Amino acid sequence: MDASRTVTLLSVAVVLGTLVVTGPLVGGTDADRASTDLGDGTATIERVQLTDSPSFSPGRFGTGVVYLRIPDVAIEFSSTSGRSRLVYRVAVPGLGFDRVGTGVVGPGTIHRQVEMSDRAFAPDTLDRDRYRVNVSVRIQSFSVDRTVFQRNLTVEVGDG
Amino acid sequence: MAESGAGADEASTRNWSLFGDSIGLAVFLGALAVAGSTWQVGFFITDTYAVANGLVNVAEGHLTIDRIEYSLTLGNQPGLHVVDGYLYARNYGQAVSALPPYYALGVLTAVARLELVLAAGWSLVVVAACRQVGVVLGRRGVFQTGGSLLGVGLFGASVAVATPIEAELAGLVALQMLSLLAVAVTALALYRLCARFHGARVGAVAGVGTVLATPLWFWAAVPKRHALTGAAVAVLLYWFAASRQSGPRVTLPLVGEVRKAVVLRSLAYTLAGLVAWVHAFEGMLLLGTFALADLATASTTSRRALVAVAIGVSVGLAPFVATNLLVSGSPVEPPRLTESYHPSDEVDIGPGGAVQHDVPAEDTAGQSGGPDGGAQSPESADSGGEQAGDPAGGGADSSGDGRSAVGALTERVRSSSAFGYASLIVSEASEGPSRLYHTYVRSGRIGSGIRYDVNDEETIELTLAESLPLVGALVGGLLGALVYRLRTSWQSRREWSRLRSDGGAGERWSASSLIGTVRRLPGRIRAEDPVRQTDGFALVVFAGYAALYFPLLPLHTQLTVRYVLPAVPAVVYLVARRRTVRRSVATASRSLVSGYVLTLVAGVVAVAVAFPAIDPAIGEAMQLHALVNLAVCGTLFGAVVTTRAGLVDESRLTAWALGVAGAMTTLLVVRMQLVYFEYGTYAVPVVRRVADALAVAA
Repeated sequence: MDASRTVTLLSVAVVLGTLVVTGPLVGGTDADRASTDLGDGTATIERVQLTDSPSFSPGRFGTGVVYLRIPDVAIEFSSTSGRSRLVYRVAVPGLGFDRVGTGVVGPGTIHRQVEMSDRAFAPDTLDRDRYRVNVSVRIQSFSVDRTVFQRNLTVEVGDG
Repeated sequence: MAESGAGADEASTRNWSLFGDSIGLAVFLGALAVAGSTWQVGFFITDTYAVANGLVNVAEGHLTIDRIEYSLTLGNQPGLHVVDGYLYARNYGQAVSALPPYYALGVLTAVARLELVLAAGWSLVVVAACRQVGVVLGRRGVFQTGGSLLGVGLFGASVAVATPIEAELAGLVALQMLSLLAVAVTALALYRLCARFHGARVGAVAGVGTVLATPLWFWAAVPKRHALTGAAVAVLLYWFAASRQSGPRVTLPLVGEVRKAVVLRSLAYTLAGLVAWVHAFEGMLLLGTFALADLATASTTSRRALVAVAIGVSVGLAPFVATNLLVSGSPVEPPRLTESYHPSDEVDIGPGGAVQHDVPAEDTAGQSGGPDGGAQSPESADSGGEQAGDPAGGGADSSGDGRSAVGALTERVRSSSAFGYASLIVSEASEGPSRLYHTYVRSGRIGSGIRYDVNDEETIELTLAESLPLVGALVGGLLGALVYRLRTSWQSRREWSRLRSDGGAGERWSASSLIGTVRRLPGRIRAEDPVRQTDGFALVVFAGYAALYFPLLPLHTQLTVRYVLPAVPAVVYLVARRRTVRRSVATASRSLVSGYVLTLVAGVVAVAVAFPAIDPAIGEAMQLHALVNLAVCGTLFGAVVTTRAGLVDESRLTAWALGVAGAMTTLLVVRMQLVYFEYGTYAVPVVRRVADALAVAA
């Protein structure tokens, strides 16, 4: 048997061995399965900042829509304990738009950015010149639910 | 690499080899490894729920859906049907074909975690693919050792970063495995087909290009019917080509000695019939086009051959007919044509997924996600309610569906016969140019006819040329040949007229010569070279798909015109058949590879640099790809048309353009899977991590 075959056989053995050892028959390590779950944590916020201000602008490259450009939100923590999550919410009541983005906060998190993609609207659905955009950030876990940031902005539709 | 001459009776056809040769196996394994690398375990299009539930219930031994294993919202699943108070799925052929991997997964998940089973399976495919590439290149030892270490490394990294995939998703995973396998079979069939006619190098490029340079890669892990029927088209093309000459005799049990070509033809009819079990209309289309092409070009129509054909058709259609009888009671009415399920029907889905019968209608109020589009059509039953995994990537703000232009159209299709369908195509022809333009050339925002609301108003539906710029080579090759013919005939006519004082007037067409030409046509087709006969079949398949879906396209949630995806193998074959293309591949393969690799690297860098600056929304990103791809398609068209017409003679230029076009599709489909449409858990999480690292590092 040449060396390459030995390497292959060993590799296959390692792969299959790992499969069985981590599998339900052996018991395996299930610890990492639970690690992303929400806990009883809380966090003290140092600073909350939108990376830009929300705006409407026409879609490019032939998309033929008007986009509500939604900024990301950057949060800095002064202290955290346990596991909690950030809930970043953007709503435009006049357009029936309401969307939530979340981010996980674990022990030792000092900075977290929650992203939200832009939202397209067919041009004929925008019948007003300006819309009210509500932005809020909450910190949430089994033990807390606290609003840490709230803004009511008026955004002009512009030439879209 | 050995060139096997066109039409020559190859040694490989004398035995029943599946892969043909070592290159075929390498193409197959490579395709599986590539397509599997970006696999996401998840439901991308909502009507996959129905097929996955169908699979789970078939595995329990019944066609009726008694238990809903997978559900998005209670009660609202496009693709479920109700007959006599019982729930049924559709695409039963697909569900039944996925049973072997489903049972296998059941055994494997008893001893191992599902997410690691998938990572391990993929890693072992990588090992096998590396080894086989080594065999082809004559350096097995090095490649096998390197591949083994790579495989273990990839698996180890996957174990470290894997996120759990519930064992209950085995039904969906089995459907996805079937679909991935279908794409690998497609690549293999195209390798064998093109290698048969133009040698191993052209074959290998066609086989590899099938995955890397077409949208099949994107749909490989989406367990819709398209990848399956696409594989059927590719295999039919190969079997058609391989059975045009009578070939050697083989001995079969029970039957005795028969021509191999007759066996292949019979198998092809069986395969086309089986497609009907997955999708009745596409099955009939393939059966019809194959029969037309086969009977027009068959080397023998002996009684024995016709019996073999009849047996093939009967065997192929048997499961389809049996399923129809069991579900609808009519042999020709597939589940897809029966009444769609609405939450207000007398059947409902209770807690735990148990299907309850005779529930009063008022109890069901509020269970559905929104008013569904009513009765759905044969063709696009999936168009009424389907919706891609939320492209905007967040939130529950997508609205429910209502009735639409498409709904009305599909209603008309539903109520029409085959003749009615043909007349529908004719009556829609008035808006034909604009619809064809928006289906095959340029998408952008299309005024009406597409329901953008189901996908958050994003303009994400690309045309064929925008998602598969390689078609530029096909159109360019055909047009270039025409120009070349006109040029040469004009020149020869000029010389002719110099010799003859009457200016060649004696050559005029007369009515009798026209009739004679038409009368001689069947004979000429039959006597034609098998290569050109296969070209004809491929063209007919493409035209068939284009016509079948013409009344429905453009449509939402197509992304890369997925309804005509099964015809993409035919397109790849026809591209590989262009004289300019195969000459470029044969003589300037280095330019082809460098064009592909350099464009891919440049594309990744350009995206990493430019996208943060312009910060495109998903629709804008897709349309930017579309515009760039359209420009590449145009350039490729120009390069091929001028070369073919004899205006320039530069194989390296066309080879480069081909590589660029392939790379642009790779870039699009990889970004679609890793960035734009994230709808599930990555089966090979390490690939995702590497992609993230690349995006950050660049």
